[in-house]
Amino acid sequence: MSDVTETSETGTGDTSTGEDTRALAVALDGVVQSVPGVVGLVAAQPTLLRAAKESVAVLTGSPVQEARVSVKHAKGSTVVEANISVADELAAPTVAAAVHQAILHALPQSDPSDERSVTVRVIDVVPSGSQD
Amino acid sequence: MNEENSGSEQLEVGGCGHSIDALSDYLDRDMLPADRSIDDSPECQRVLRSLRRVRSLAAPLLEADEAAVTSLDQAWIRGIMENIGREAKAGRDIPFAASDEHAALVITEGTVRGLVRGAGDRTPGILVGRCVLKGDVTVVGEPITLHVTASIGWGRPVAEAVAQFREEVATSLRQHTDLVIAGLDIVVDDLHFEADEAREASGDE
Repeated sequence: MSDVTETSETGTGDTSTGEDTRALAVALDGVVQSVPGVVGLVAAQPTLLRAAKESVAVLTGSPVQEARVSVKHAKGSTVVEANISVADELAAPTVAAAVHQAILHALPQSDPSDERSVTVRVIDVVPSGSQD
Repeated sequence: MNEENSGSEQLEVGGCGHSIDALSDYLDRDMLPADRSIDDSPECQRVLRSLRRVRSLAAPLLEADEAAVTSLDQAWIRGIMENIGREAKAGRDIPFAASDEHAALVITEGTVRGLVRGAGDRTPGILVGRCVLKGDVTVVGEPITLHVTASIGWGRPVAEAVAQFREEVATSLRQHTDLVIAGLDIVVDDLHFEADEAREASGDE
């Protein structure tokens, strides 16, 4: 799914470029959405702002491939944030933990001294029958 | 209807930028044309689910006798809708027990309130009014208290319905959170007619 929001990156002289970070975030979108129990992935950016940006991009004919998972690089640290909706049939803590593990496995190996911080936020529990 | 309600038409749902009225209109249109800013917003989706539930209760009243729907009924429906909108916002992050300094695994307060509201939807005769989480929910293991108000269908045995609702809430919170619930206060503060009673009240055979 490529209708997307903001991939944050702060290229502060790190080895990662903005494009690397963007590509990583897009890849993480797929990783997160493939975790059993995840029925939605929502960008951290406010929905209306994201919709407005996408509309502008479409109007200007330059839609941008952006990700819903947020990835930020700073010196010595990587911060990942994913906002998910989960199916009511599965326990939300279990799904969140699975998403966390999936993200950790998907993050490229880097300097062991690098700090990794992952936030997985359950923003909705969707009852069965409510899913499209 | 009290004066506070008169200015509530623009009440926004959480931070999604849509009012309850706008979402109600969207539901009227069978959610067409699709609006991504609504379809992709978890707050809006929670509100839409709750609005469907309120409408399922309100529709029999209207069908029974439109003229019999008093301003009091309308104020009641309006009040419920406002609570739904107010409580849909994300609120505080509530950590799961597996969180540590490098992993913040959390569920939002709005989602937890949605779980309580969903438990009400699964309990015959119960419609949740307000849901308040009292205590520091941001600390894993910290005992908290839930305070829930509810309306009950006319003629339903209150104790039975409340007991079933209590069990639904406990089951749902046990499954989806690591909250330590020290107390669950349920206050039945209203009555509503359900389909059959509404028809009887209007004299419709």
